Amino acid sequence: MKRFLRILYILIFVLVGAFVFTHPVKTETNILRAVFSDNSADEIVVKLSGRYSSKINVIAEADDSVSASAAAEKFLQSADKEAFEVKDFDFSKFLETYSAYHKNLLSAQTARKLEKHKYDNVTAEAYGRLFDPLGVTLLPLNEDPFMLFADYLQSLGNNGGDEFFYNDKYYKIISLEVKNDSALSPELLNGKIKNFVNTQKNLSDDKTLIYLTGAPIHSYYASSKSMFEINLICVISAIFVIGLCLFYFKSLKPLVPIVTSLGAGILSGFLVSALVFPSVHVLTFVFSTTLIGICIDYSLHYFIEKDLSKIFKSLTVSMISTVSAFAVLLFSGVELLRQIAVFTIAGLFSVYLIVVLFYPLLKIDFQTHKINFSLSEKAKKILATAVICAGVCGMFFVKFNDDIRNMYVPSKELAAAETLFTKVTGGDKKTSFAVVEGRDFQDLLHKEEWISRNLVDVKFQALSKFVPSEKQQKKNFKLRKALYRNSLKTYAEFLPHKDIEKLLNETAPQEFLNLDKNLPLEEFLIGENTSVMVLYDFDRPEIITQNSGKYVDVQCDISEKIKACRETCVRMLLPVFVILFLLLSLIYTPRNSAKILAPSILAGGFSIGLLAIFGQDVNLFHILAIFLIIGFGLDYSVFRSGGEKHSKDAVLLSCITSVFSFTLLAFTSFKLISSLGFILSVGLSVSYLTSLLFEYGEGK
Amino acid sequence: MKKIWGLILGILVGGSAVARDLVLAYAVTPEKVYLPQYRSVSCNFTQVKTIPNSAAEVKSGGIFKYRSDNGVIFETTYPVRATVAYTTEQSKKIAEIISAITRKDSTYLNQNFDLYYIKNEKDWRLSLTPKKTSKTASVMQSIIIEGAQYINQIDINTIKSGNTKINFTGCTSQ
Repeated sequence: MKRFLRILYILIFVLVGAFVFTHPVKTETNILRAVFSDNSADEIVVKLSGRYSSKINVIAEADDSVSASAAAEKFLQSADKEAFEVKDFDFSKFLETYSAYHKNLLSAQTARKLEKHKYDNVTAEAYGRLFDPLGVTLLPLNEDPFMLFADYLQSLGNNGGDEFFYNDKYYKIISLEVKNDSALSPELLNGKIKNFVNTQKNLSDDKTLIYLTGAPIHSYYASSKSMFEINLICVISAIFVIGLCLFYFKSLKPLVPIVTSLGAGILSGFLVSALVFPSVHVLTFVFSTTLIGICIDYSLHYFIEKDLSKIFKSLTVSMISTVSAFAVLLFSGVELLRQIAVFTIAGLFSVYLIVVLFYPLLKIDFQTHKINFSLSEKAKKILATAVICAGVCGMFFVKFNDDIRNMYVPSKELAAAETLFTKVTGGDKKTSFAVVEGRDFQDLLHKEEWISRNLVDVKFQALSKFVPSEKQQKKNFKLRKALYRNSLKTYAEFLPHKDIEKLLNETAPQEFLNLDKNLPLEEFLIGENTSVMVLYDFDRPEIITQNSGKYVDVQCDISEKIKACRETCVRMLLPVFVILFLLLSLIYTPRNSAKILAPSILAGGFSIGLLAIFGQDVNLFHILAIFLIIGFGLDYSVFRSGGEKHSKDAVLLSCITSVFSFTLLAFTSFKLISSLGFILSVGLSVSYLTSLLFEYGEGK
Repeated sequence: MKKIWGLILGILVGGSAVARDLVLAYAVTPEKVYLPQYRSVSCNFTQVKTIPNSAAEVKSGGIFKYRSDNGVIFETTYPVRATVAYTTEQSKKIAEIISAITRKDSTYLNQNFDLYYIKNEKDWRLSLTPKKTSKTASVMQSIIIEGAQYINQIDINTIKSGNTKINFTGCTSQ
């Protein structure tokens, strides 16, 4: 029978592996995809967020503008044009196109005044432009005497371009956009950005400084540093495990099957996830492989007892209870949690099968060094008091924080560069979006204009400002004509009579300004007939929603989504414990079941309590860590309750290796990883130690 | 998008001029350009805007004030009353251009214009022609500035929309 099962296992493994590797799935690296699904509402937030996360700003600082521009230009020349693009456009073409349609173009403010017949007001403003010594006549005065074209262009925005003067320094800023091919490959992108950082160092000297900002730069520094730290931790952990193996087994032989079973477990988890989901999130790998690490217990128990029959029940119960705990996550409605559940369940089951089916084939001839660690009664009392007090007290101070920005703290240099960028460009305004959808392009523009009319005293940018709808262009022409009829003769005394007559007899244009693909206006479009209006310091979303638009505050929406995910996780904790209790009660007495569950509950409560006591805000990832602690904690308790002679040592060894690795992670620089390392090392330690508090009687 | 705004602003404030002038025979580097430097100047000004292919002109005048730390103010007193202030905070571009002209900010001028300059004992003349690579070159032809102790005239000429002459008289300084 076992022989058949072995062959079946290998066959399924190979077949699924062959299928997945011939139909590879995408590894999702966008952290937002962990909590956002691919429905249209979520898709907009992810898209808008991605738009800002693919830009790199190169800031050249110098004592004079020439040096700043020269440094920026040198930097640009060294940039890989295959991987990055600078969005620029032909301004003479822009002016030529727009001046051809100038009769149809009015600033929204002037159009509103003309609608209300405020001709004197518009004329007074025109005088201001006309007699402004530096007011440029973009069109000859006999074509546009009120200089309404200049007024329109000025209304498009008053951003200071790409050259700035701030604190007695000149700045030139170039924005580079990461092209899609590179953005999809973090490894490739990091390689390109490494060249950027080298160029930055080469071009910076006493007189000229280059700063780099933008999400890809943060990603590069964070991943480079994390990569080094993780590699270092791997080496230290490997040395530790080897040392522990030598100490306990006096041999390195157990390492080979342990590593093989873990590798097969992780691979199985990935293969099944790849079969079930269209893409596998990188966070799924992080959490699930950590959890599959629990399976080291299965191997240790086997090598210590050397007899499958002695540990078969504990092994099976441990696997079933952990799998059950994670099966609940399948109903969470959160993509990341579902993936973690599938990955972990498949991985754990695979390792279990390897231990049960294949380990008995191994010849075990190594001796073990017994430890038999236990706590004195006094230590148990102190431990129980401390854990309960910290857990209970901490609960009164728990504060949740779902702001994703709190999970990453940039280096001082990068933070300073971002602050400089904000101050130099004056870009410290809160940005939000109105998403507008039309039946067709003209309907889209019309809807934008409808919303714009309600945005009085609000700074915003919109496609319809640059390309008014045909309806609005026709209306603008009529308003201009009305102004001419009412005020031209008295206003434009400087014009010859024939020019005035010509202007009064102008006929309505038959052609209208349309979207020019040469201009970077398509940035406003996120779908064929869907656009985004960019709103600055806007706090009245009802204006958008009441006018058939969708209001999107990316930061707020992300935090809300993470909050919803975190709340789902918290809500699932109770059902998880109830199901586990019922399940364990089928195997053990209810009293023993409660004892088995108690360390996980105590460890979870203590970990969160400790964070609260030290003033740390609790986030989604801390709650996810509680699920890991439950998984590990159950394992420790189940094996201890099994009462096998040497199970205690296996549990201790498993705990030591896990806690050692997570403690190292707690010292890493990436806040998300370090906070996870901290809570897991504390949680697992407490989970193990509290499992020593209980004496487990005979089970069913 | 930022590019559009920057360029529009650049064009709107940059001014434009024709430079059919003898001075164009004397190309110089910014170091050789002498311009008077003052912390504060006040003048009367008159402005004349012309219309291409027409004899029509638009005339205005008033008081011009410059302060090195605060920018430029044009107080138009006729034919209508209006004040336009180009302070550093309001418009970086304008502040740069005016500062460059008045404070001899040669680096800014050198970056954006080809410079031509002649000087005799009494007066001097400087022509600024936008470099071909300059984004304002499609609108502006040149700016000619002439002066003696102070700036006497700025002549801004566009390619298609006529020219603007600003004459400064009765200047006093601190």
